[in-house]
Amino acid sequence: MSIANLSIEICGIRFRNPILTASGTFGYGEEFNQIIDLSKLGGIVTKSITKHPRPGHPPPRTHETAAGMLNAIGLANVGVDKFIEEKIPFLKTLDTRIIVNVAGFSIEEYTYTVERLNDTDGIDMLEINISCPNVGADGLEFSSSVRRASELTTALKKISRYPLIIKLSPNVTSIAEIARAAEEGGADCLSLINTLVGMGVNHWTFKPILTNITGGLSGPAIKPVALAKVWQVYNAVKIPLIGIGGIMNHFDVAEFMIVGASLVQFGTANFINPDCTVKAAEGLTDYLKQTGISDISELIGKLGGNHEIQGKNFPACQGT
Amino acid sequence: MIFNPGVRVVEKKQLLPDLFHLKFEGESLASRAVPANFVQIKVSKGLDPIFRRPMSIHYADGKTFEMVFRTVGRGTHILSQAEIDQEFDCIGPLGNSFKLPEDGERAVMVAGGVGFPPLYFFSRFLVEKHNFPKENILFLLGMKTVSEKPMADDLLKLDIPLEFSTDDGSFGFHGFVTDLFEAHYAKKLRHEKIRIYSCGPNAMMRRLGQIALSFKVPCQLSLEGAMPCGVGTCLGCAVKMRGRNDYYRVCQEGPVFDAEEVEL
Repeated sequence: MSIANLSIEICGIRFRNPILTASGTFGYGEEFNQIIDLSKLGGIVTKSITKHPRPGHPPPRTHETAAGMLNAIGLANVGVDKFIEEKIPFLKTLDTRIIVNVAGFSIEEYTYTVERLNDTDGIDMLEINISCPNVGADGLEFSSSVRRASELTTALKKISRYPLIIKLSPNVTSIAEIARAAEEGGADCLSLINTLVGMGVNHWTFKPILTNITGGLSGPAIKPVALAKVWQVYNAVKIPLIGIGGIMNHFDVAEFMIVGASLVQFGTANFINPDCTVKAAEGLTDYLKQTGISDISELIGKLGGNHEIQGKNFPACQGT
Repeated sequence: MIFNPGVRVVEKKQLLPDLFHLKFEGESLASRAVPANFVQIKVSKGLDPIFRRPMSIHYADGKTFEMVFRTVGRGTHILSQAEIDQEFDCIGPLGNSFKLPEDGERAVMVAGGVGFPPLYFFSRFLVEKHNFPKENILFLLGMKTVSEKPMADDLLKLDIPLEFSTDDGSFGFHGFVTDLFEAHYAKKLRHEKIRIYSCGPNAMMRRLGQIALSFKVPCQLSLEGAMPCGVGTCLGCAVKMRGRNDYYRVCQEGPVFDAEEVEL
């Protein structure tokens, strides 16, 4: 059997494989470029970029939890001007897709950043972070209101030169409603989930562990939640989805695709094993061979039954 | 930086009930290590704990490297159970190093407790690799009490000028190591060219930095921080830049900083 096709096309853009890195876990690509071959990835998503530079929150900013972590970095980033001047030239040299993550505190701020990026080459898509849980009530305004999510998407779609991914928060009553609002506003793609709001407390000092008090929970601990959200949204919209949440290996990639994701992002896993993405890409080839699937896109949304494996012996499901 | 899938334990010593010394074989990592470098070691194959642990390098000789650590939590507890020949997944060497002392300068090492390994490595590095005169090093080690003295076993073998302080006065100077420096040496060394190197609790290094700045003596601090990734991308190990509303990453721009660069 010939080597299976791992490539996926969404929004007219072909990705070498479905594996991307999640915003905020991969910097601007420079650090990891020294450790792994970035051309083995489908693409990278940059740290969130805002209109103005942001120093981020005072430490402690992270806290290790059971099978996961809390973070409240506070959108630390160099700001869009410095990003274009100092980071884009490097990103342009990479043989992989570049998705720039954009955050903001008002429609005006998002608009400013997107317009600045419109003047810049070397970008394939924009991911709009409407759901950072660590920057006060403002950051969640767009992700938890159907009306505001729709307004922001509509405003950005009007001006953006690049296809728009709207990144959704799980910290809402109905993620499907917000997903539909973004789709109606013109979103080309949705990514989900951002982190779940959580906190840690020191039982001796009675103090919160994070300076910001609450933070975003990520890592394998949230994978079952993320799978459920992707499945709910897959059943609510027609645009392609990018699955995020506790993905550690190629089996996790397959599971997210089965519930409806076209692409996936590795986040916290990059902190544990810097080569997890490259290993997962290799693992996917073996997985497709084992399951007898010749094109990885055949996995997307196939929850319910794999007729290919009938009558064959498979090892126990090794999901984390 | 080397992404090294396997280093192997070749020696293990328990110095105190909660203090361990491990020696690993891992040439690609050890041969590149310089003082103040650290490694990110995965102590568990599973998810508990999920992250690697940043560990200072106590010594590296080209083929092997060593670490001395106190068991403070789940990660170091698991590491303390390591057995000979056990393999660990380890990234390193990571981080920057100390500036060398200039000609005629005395190198004063001020160590707080189990912060001593990078300063031990640096002292040995100066003597062995740079022919730095032993008498031009002064090593001050602060401990809680006399029973912690076994932590100084390797230091004593170095045969460099070495003084101790204990919080309870049971051995050496009675008080903090910063008090020892201030009371006995800050004035005495006023007419000498000295350079201070330090590693220990933040409160200790904050105080030492203040003393150094007031005496206008160059001082470098080796910091630690909560470090999920260790390679500059998680931004967890932030340390405040002095006089600026911004942060350094301990793992990338450090772990060694000039005292005047950071606010502890």
